[in-house]
Amino acid sequence: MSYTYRKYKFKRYETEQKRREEETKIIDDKFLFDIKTSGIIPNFVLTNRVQPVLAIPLSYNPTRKLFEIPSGVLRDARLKAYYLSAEPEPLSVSDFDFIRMDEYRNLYAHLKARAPDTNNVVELQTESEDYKNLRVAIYDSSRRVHVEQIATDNISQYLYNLCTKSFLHGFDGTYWQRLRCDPSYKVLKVMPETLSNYVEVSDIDSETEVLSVSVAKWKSKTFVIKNTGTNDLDVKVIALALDGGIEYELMSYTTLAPSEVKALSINDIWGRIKVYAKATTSGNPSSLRIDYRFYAC
Amino acid sequence: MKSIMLELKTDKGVTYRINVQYEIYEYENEKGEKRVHVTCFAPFIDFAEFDFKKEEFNEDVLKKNLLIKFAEVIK
Repeated sequence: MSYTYRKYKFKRYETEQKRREEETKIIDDKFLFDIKTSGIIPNFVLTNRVQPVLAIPLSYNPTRKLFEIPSGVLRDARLKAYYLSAEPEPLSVSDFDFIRMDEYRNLYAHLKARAPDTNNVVELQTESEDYKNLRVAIYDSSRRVHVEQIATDNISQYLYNLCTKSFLHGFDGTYWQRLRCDPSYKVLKVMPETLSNYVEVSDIDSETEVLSVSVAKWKSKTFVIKNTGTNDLDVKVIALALDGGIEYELMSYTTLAPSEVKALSINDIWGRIKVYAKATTSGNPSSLRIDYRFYAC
Repeated sequence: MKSIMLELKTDKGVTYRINVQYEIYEYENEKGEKRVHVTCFAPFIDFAEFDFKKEEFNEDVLKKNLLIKFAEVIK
């Protein structure tokens, strides 16, 4: 089997530039189509949203019969970003590519923000390399709010501090309730803690402890004792500075006739109050009721 | 503040009627159980605290626990 080889001949392309008026026809064998360029172009996918356009101005040199790129064109052929046909103002940073695109077509931009003070436009700054938040301050005219550590006790009278409103709430066991103040004097409205209760004891004959109550946290203490039975009762009141300590007789045995009432107010500080009762005549029991109310102040 | 009346009789035949005031605080523990914490104020015991499962709490249960407390201090 024999093969016939034909000599390979490069294809030659003729280029033609036609102007609208057909004034100029340029046919130049040296202006060959660049094979490398034609291999790259299919890699670009053009969409209806993004259409990259590269335009390099060329001029024909009739003397040299060549297309040439005018001097200075390459220097100005920088990539510029457009948004809605508006070109961003270049930064005044010399020799700095303020916008560039990497090989993965990610766009990088170096931005600087500026804002006017009274007379000048100044550049805004971040706090530091570690804290990249924008540096801000709160002003009232030329008075800048002062920031300081909470641990500071002595604060200069010449510093300006931010005025804030605070709301105090107290927990009532179920909800956090807003605390009130007095409308006239704007002082916190508080109600002194109080405790009141009563006890009824019947069939008292021999000496019986009819009341024992802690009063350690109460300043003002009032007791009202009434003989609710039909026979006389002897009643005495004992005070202790501490539980299990020495008993001091605040009121010695006093006879209460049926329905008779005895009131006792104690403003001294004690730990516990006890009330004892016994029938005036043994074998003739009676009953009593003791009401009490304590105030913390 | 709620209150319940307790009545107890001693060995000497003396009868006490004691008014017990109490506060209830409902909460949910870390296991998700709904519970009731009760703080009681009364003479003799001064104050006492109890903790119940919410579904097991009622006044009779509270009285039963209070009577045990009073029995320790009223002879």
